[in-house]
Amino acid sequence: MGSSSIDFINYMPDEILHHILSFHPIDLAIRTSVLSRRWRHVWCKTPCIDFANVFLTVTARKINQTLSSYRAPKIMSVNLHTTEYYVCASDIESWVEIAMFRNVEKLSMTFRGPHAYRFLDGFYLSWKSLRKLTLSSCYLHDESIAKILSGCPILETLRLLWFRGLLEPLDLSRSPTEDRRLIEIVAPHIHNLILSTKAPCTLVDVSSSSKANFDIDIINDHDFSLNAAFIQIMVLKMLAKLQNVERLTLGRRIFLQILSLAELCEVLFPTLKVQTLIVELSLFDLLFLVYQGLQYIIPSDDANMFEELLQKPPTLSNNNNVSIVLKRYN
Amino acid sequence: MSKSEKKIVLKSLDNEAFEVEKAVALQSQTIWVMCEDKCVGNEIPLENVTGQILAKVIDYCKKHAVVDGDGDESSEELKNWDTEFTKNMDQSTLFNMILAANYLNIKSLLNLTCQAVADKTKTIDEFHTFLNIENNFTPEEEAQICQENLWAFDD
Repeated sequence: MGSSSIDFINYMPDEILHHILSFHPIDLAIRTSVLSRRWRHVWCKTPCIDFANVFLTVTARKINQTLSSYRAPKIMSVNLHTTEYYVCASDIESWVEIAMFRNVEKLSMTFRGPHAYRFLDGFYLSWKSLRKLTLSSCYLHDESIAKILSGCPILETLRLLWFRGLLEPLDLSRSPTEDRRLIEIVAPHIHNLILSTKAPCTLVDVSSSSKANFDIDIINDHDFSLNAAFIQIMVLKMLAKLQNVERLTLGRRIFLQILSLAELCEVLFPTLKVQTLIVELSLFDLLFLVYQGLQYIIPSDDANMFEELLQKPPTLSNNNNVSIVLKRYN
Repeated sequence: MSKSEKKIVLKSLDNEAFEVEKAVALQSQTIWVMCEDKCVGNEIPLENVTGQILAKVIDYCKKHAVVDGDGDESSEELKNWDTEFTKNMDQSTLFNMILAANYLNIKSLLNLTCQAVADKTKTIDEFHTFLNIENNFTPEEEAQICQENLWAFDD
């Protein structure tokens, strides 16, 4: 088999050798340059550069050196990472620029240092080819997220891992991506989950959440041709993921329109550990509740009636250990 | 639609004919384009693929045509099937599969087979042995290349 199989690999088109190298960390890819003359420059055009899985230490100098030898006109994915604690913002900026110049589609960055993500400040961001972005161990400002969302017109996946610094809830509404039907929330370390959405989403992992606040408002959104059954299934699936939530707040739409429907259809509800359930209701909702459950006599004055109704919740919860708080929705 | 219209015949380099469901064959972008062209009839000649390799490619496409669109469980099963599929392939079969996947333009199969080669070449020594690559550098040349990309060779 000897010589024929040598020919075999020699006759493989470069693209296939690049494809094979794209599964390897960049240091191994570079080391293939000593295999034979055929392999001398193959690594320079591999479409994926991965510094994160390199066995050796990775310094800014090494990344600069590698990128200066790199020759591909197009990069599919770049995984930037250093083993140094201090990484200069201008270095990161130049690496990202090199990647963007080559229309990178998938960018992942893991930098532990305190200065690492400063580059997002005052940096005009226009990452037109980017589909997937992962930022890990980083310090993020609220503006950084807004900037990323407005600067990446075709972004499909945004992963934020071990990040610090965000004060405001993550606001994806400014994302220019039209199709937000595939929002998945994977946040195993989030303790207080506040979800306000007009688009359907899936909770994948929110196992540490002890507090949750849901306001789901997609029923009247004509952009989504969704029926009530679909939304009901989605919300019940979400509730089933809240295994450890003790304090749950539900916006009025979820409670009445979705859960009442579920109950009418005799759908089984997930069992939760919730101790405090807060439901936001409008006056109209309360009247509905009254007719359905409490058989209460309606006083003439609206404000008084509401106050009186608010005294009533124990009746709602006398069969279990949950304390229910009804809040007036304005 | 008659039964024959749903089926398609693929003919290998060594004239072996395989009758397959259209949905199975159309996972190949190359075949898809050929069918769109209408120039070809129900029989598609594949000049770069031997019968032995084509049979394996069809196995792969059949498996992936059936399971597509199902839930999590089946994707897990499919992954295991993929692993088994390439696990015991010898070097020359694997190379021919890569070339076939490339020619037929079946992206997932190309990924799978290239990944399988990558899994068997985790060190430079393994590159030399598994891919039968003979080092044709002089020691001086080799030392110079190492020097150029020093960081990747030493710590």
